[in-house]
Amino acid sequence: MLMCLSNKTHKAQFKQHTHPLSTVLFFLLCLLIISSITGCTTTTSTTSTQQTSLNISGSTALQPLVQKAASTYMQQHPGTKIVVNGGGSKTGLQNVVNHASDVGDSDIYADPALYPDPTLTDHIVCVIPFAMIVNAQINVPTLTTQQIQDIFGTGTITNWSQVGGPDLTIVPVVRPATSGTRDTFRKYILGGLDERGKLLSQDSSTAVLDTVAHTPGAIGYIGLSVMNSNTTSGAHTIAIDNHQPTLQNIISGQYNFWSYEHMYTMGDDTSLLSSFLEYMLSTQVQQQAKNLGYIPINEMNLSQIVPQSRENMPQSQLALSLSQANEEHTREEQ
Amino acid sequence: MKSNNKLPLQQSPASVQTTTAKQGENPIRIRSKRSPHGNLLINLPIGTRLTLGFIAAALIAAIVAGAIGVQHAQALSSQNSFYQNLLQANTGLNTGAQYLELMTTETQAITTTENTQIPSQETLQTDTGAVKNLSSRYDSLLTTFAQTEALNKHTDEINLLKEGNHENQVQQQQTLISSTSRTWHLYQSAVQQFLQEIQKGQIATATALEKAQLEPTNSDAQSALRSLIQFNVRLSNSVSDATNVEQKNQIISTILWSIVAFILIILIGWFISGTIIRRLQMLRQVTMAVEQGQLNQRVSVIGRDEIADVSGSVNAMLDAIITLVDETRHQRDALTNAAEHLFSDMRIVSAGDLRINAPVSNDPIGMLANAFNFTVGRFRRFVQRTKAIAEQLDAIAHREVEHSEAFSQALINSHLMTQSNSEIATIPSAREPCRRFSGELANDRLETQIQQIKDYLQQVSNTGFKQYYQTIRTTHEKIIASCERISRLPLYNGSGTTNTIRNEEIRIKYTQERQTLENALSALISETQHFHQQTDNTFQTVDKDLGQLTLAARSARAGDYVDTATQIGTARITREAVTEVARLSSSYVNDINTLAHQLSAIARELRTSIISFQFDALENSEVNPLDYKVGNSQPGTIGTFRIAGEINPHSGNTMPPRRNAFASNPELRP
Repeated sequence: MLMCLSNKTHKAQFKQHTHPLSTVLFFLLCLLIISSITGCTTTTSTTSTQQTSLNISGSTALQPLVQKAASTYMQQHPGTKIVVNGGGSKTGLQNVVNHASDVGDSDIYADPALYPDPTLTDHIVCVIPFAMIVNAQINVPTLTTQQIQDIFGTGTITNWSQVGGPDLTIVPVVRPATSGTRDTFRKYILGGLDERGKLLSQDSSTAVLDTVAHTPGAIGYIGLSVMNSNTTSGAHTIAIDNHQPTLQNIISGQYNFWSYEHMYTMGDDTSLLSSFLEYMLSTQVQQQAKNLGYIPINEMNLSQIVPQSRENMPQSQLALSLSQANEEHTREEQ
Repeated sequence: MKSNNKLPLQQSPASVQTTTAKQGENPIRIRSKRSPHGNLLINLPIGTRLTLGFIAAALIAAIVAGAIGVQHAQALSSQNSFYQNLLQANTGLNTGAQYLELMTTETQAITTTENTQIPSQETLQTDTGAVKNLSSRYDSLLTTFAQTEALNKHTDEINLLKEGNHENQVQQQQTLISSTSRTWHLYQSAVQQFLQEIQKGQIATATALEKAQLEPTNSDAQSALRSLIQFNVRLSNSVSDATNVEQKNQIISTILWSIVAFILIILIGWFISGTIIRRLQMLRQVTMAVEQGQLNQRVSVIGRDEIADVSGSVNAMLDAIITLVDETRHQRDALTNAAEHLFSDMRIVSAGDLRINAPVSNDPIGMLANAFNFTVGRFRRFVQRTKAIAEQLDAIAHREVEHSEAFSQALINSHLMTQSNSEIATIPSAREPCRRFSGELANDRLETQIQQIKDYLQQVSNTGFKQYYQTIRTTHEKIIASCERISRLPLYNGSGTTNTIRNEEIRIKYTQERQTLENALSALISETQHFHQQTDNTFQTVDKDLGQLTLAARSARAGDYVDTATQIGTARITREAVTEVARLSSSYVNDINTLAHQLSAIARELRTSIISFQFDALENSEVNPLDYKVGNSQPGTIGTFRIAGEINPHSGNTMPPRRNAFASNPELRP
């Protein structure tokens, strides 16, 4: 209509004017619509302070994986610096709480009583199976949980001949109190008993391996990843209750000497931290973990653990564990 | 303008047919271009079409707005349910954490009770029951959470997290749940072992177990549970992330939908306006072409809506206009012909032939011709009457000249006789010289008087009548000259449009000429009056002289009586001559008298005829020329009108062939 008014006198030009004007109008309208819509929703994006370096310390069991992941991550993201240290799970936790490190690797759970800070966040990265290792001279293929408890805790078994091995004094290698592996060993194998044996001065998985390899009749426990990454021939793993530390046995609940690998942080609100933690869960790193002897977290299927772990319990424990109905049910079975 | 108008008329009928054929192709081409749906739309009225378009646009807008609204509502409800689930789950898990703490306190209470001097079995029983109850409750709580409230059991929540790019959190939660359950089971088995030991009564083992195993595993379990709770809290951040992403998606989808709706509505508008505007433009093109003189242009009528109606009526209007233009042209030609006829008639009139009767038709030229006929007829009658009067006067004059000659002859005779008598008388009777002298004197006087009368009469007959006749003749010549001038008016040159102007000119000229004629007539009248007075005077003088003559004759007769005795012979002869003269003179006087009466009658008649002519001319000048329809009732004019009507179709045959073809082409007629 505007065009009609303006171009009334220019009859011949009328048609030529129609096209550009209408397209201009069209785009103007589109712009109006878009701007009005986007103007309504102004999203406030918080830009966190760019952190370029990460300090990681803690579990030596997780160290090989984190080391590798950090190096590949630094390759992929130039300008970032990730320092990975050992020191043991409890050291790592302590460092995180004290803000000495950004990430604390740990085999164990942070005790809420010891670390009451609610911002302490647990990131489970993978599963590490532990294995009992013995000196190469020992040819015992397997030990029962009770035998291990007797060797490490009660001290009733002191010679390999008592468990079908050569006549050699058993030298249990005990890790220092900062070791997360030791905690796991105590909780899941020893049943809370105190360890007795040759105490190592330094918490290091490789130190355990070396000691076991060079001490005749020595027995220790170590992360399977450390075992896989070091090709020393002086020591070898033995099964527990005839179960090798394999994925199937762990998932089925028949092999209980394993632990989640935690990476504790005080919150994860920095971009580099969350990015790296996400990178730890990426298929690339998880595959790396599998190669190193860890179990990728995605392969852990919990739904199978819950009932089978119950089945694995002793009958007497089972009777007490569940509700009244369950108790009656099990009694009827008996 | 004129040449433009004539241009299409000069085209041959064949070319007109080809142009119409070309126009006939147009609608077919346009119809084939359009889809059948478009034709269907064109058949609808514009109002209905616009209503349909607006309804469609409103529907599109409503659907788009509804879709966006529904999407937003769904997103909101899914977020809402997510938050609700999270809250419920975390409340349950927090209760679980309390259970774990309570279990620790209960186991510690059991050990303290056991370590007292006399353990209260009842308290022990209660505490053991409480621990068992807590254990089963926590177990069921954890199972419920893992089986119903975990993320992987809610696909909508997984979808929401996927939108926020946090789908790995499902796996993370699973890991945390499994870690929680693992630590719980370890603690549970430790608790059972502890209770077994209590039942067995091995208080030391139980206390050791409580310290070495229960507390660490409990703390593990609590830690794992706390991680799970923390994770669930962090999930809310992920949900808000997802909400942001969803909002962005919604914005994008809203923009997309609005653009789609906009385009659709514009398309609908364009489509509907296309059904209107294109044909309106065609209509406009045709009207513009007609404006520029291409009268053979026609609109192609498509569809059954208002525009189609308008196009049809425009076509009909153009046809009607063309027929009107043709009719006007016919009339103009007819007028031109009539005017030419009239002017040829006028030329004939100017040549002197007043018998002309111009053809009369119902147009202005016809009326002019009618007026012309009427005027010329009146002139003819007037001239005839004047001519008759002149002839009458001529005859009278001739007769009077003869009479006067006869009278003068008689007088001469009598004079000769009296002369001889007096010669005879002077010889025999010289004694009465005085009487003789007196007789001689009387004779002389008589003679001179008679001579005088004769002169008078000759004066009357020669100068008066001749003058009068001359005047009439000059007047007649003047009339003829004015008629000539009428005919010599500027000839009609054949251009039709200025007919009325030319008619006006002719009318003005005509009135001028009529004025001249009136002037001439008034001059004639005055001349006649003057002549009448002159003749009256002359006749009066003649009468007076004749009276004197009679007196003289009587006295002479009395004197003769005295001399009769002496001169009987001569006297008898003289008396005979005198009586002869007297008889002749009296008859002559009588003749002159009657002549005077006749002349006065003729003059009166002439005056009345002039007056009546003047009166008629005055009446005619007052009457509007357009009101000459009364004249049509006269049989003569009806006849001429009929002839004119017969001439008109004849002149119609001389029309250009183009017009004939157009008139005979029925397809082009509305």
